[in-house]
Amino acid sequence: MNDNFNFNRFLTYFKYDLTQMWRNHSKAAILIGGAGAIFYILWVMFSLVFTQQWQTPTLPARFVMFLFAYAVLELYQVRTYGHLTEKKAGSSWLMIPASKTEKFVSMLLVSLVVVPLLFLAVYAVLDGFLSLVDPTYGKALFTSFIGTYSEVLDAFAQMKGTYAIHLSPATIVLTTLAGFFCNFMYFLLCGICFKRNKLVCAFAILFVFSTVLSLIMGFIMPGMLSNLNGVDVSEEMVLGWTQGIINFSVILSILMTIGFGWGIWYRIKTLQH
Amino acid sequence: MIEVKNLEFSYGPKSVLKNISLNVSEGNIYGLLGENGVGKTTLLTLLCGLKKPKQGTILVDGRNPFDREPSLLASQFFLPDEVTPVHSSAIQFAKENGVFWPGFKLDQFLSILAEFEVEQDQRMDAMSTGQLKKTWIAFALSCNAKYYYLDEPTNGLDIPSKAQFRKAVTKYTAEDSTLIISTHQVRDLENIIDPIIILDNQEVLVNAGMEEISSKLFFDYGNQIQPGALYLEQTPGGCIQVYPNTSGEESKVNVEAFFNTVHAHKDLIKPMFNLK
Repeated sequence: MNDNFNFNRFLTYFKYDLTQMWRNHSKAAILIGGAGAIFYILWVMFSLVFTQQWQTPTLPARFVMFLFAYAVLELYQVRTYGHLTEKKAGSSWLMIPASKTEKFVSMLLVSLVVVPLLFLAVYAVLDGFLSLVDPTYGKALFTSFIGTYSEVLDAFAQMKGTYAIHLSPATIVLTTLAGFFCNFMYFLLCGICFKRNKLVCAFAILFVFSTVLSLIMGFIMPGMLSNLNGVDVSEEMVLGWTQGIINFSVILSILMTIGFGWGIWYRIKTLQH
Repeated sequence: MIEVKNLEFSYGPKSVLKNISLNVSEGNIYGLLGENGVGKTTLLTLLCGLKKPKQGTILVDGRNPFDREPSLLASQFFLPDEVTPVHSSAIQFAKENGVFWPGFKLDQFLSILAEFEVEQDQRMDAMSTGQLKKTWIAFALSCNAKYYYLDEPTNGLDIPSKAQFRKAVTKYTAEDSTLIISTHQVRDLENIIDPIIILDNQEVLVNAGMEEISSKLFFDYGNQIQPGALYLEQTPGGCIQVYPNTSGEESKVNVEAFFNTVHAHKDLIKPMFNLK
């Protein structure tokens, strides 16, 4: 028997993991996915009560609501596998005959693919439905979003050759994905590392990290800026720095994603009950 | 075969197990006895791979249980004292989880469940503590594992269920299966456990079979009090006395009396069972 990775055993385990996810977390994912529809109902209700007019949320408001729901889903990652550190939830997960690699891969698929897709599907379906039945609602959010996103991509594509910034569509997609994986994996890791107050601990680390980073930047920046004294800063230089910052943030996100992935794997490997 | 060598474990600075060595041979139902806090549950969780030893080694069929290799996990089952109320029916739970144990038999699960008088369609999170425990026991015994680590399995069971548990253990475990049952309820399991492991503060006091125990100690159930008794307990029908077996006469081991004798005379008993 292959004790590292067996595809059939992985499929069996993934199916089991999906069942557990559906049983324990689908309601939350659906509820968060329904946030847009709830927002719509509340908006209409309030407008009817206070202005006696049928008013629906504006596109920017709907977009902000979507970002808010997405942020809540991101934070919810501390709960998806949070039971692993809770003794009252039992030790079954650790004792199920599947390898650590299989459990790791399944955990990532459920947390980073299945749960977000479920959320997006519910959000998109409800949003699309509202767009169909209510003419005052406007275009579906995702249609507008994809349109705006394409415009941004086109704009960057046109910049190529004109300015120093070379942001290919692939880079933008990569940046978006790296940010998504990085954030989701951070909260997932916090969920399986801390036994209590998982979210508080996750934010505490972020706070400490950002404070330390600010302090470091506070020491570095004056020195860097003093080098610019008397230098005529051209547009080209600014664009060059911007390019550097973008490249750095993409690399940092990728490195952090790898780091969080390793952290999750190591936690699974060393978890004790 | 389970081999434990110089095992040490601590919770922070508090040492729980120290220099524990023991061998567990196949095909036996071991009774793991000890006072509260001596590390019985800790030892079981170390054996099944839920904890990592601080020092020493544990080998189960030559493999380290903490590696939690699927092939080893599929050959063992750990039943904790407090079982989890799963959000599904008993039969659904068994179907979903049973696929991971190659020896799992659904019909066996349903038979044991019926013997325990637990309904297969009942939701586990709506069960009483006893029913939930019985469902988990039924599942464990249906996995047909090679190694079982059962922590206080009769806790929360009513009187008929304790008898059913004994019956199920003897009926549904294979001859080469090894069970290590940690318990304070020695009377519940007296007739099925053999050998007995007694843990004391950070050490193994005894690891011996009933035959060996009765060859070295005599359990006298008569009314006449013997002056050299290591242990004496008055009972409504007479008394139980334990003293060294000098005549070679056989007697029925009373596990509770044996446990109390060991505790009262650790220095005498340990060398008697070749544990230094």
